[in-house]
Amino acid sequence: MTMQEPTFFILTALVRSPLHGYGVMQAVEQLSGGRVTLKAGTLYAALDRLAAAGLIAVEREEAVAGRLRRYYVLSDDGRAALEAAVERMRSDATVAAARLREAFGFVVGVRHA
Amino acid sequence: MPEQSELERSYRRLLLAYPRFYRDERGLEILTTLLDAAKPGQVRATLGEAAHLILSGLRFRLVPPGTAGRIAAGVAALWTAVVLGGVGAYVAWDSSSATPAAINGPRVSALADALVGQPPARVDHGDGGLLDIAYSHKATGRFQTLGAEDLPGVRPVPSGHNRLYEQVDATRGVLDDALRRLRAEGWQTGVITRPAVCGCGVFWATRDGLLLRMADSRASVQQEAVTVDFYPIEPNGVPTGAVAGFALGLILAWPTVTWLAHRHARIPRGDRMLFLLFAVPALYACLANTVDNVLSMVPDPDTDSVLLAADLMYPLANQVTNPLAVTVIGVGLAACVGIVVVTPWHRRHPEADPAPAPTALTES
Repeated sequence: MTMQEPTFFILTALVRSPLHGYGVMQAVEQLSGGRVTLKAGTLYAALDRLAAAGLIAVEREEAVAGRLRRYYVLSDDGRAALEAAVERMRSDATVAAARLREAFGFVVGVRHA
Repeated sequence: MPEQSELERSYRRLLLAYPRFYRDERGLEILTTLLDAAKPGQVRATLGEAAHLILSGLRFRLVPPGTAGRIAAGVAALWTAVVLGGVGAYVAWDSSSATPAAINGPRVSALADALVGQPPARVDHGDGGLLDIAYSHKATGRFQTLGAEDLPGVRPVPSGHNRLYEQVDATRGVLDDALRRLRAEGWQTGVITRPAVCGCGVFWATRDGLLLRMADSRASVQQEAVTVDFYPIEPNGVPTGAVAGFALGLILAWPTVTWLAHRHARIPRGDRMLFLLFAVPALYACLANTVDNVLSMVPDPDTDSVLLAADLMYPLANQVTNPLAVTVIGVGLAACVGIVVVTPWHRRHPEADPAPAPTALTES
């Protein structure tokens, strides 16, 4: 099944290091060039879903001064799912680029009349 | 910082849109994230944040997790709605307007005997409660041609006073004479119809809250059997009660099953299997009982039967007469609620459970 863009960027955000909720929101916005901005409700619904599917896990919790931050980490299954998504996107992009090249003789960028 | 405490209160109020179990699980974490993401100097949630949090919370209350959860919610909600529709019809039934005392009186009997011109061979008086009528009236077979008969603008309660006259002289035109006489006496009448299924002649008349049905059935060229039946008029408002009950059933059952489905996903694997052991039979009972209720209640489109107000009580009458399904569903629901409630209680009170409790870290 095709991975949705917010899911893709959440998993991507967790590749390097564990992040807490706000850290994930910031990383997703940055990685997507501002195209994907997650609100708290959407973020936690996605984190619930990904945790239930075993793609992420809680690495640790920080409870300080009435605040709670859980740090999420990519699981082995999550890494495999992300790699599969990347491979699929790469394959799709290759197919699309080849068709464009055949039809118009260029690959990068779209020229408008 | 005072701004932040006001902001925090604002977010906490909005988080009430989420169900309590989810607030216990994630509330503080979401609040922390919201406060982390707040703009400097922000004193309350923005309109967009408020709408988003309320919708996200309602989604948790109203959208079951996964396809199985949605199917379970649909099946359980439909069963509850259909049965509460029956309860609504029962509650809305105004018995005082539907059971005129005169229906079994001597004047009515004398009228019927005079219409036919001879004493009856058999007399039956409908008895039993409303639910008995709703459950069993179709078995009498008296109302299977109602759609092909000319009712005078009102419909009968399908239980009344039935008089059978045998060996009536078929050459006298008893039905035509009776119709003329009743019209002359101020009864509002329909016309004589001859439904194809029964091959009989039949007409209906009404006066003073009573419905009279007179039918003949030819035994030979010379002789026929005649029935004269008296029924109360079905009360108004019963369909409204049924619709209200149906809606109430959906409103009650859907969020309840959604809540159970969310809780089921959060209990340990062993408890989940135990949960399913009770939930699956209960859902099967819901499905089978709903099919039974609907097929028994809704008229067969290939016949001339019609949906009477009494039929709307069938789903309730079915539970009272055959309590197996409702028992399985009730036990299943109680067990499932018990499992999802007791499991977190054990987690919070590990001293009550000799087994080691999982840590909060791994339960997120």
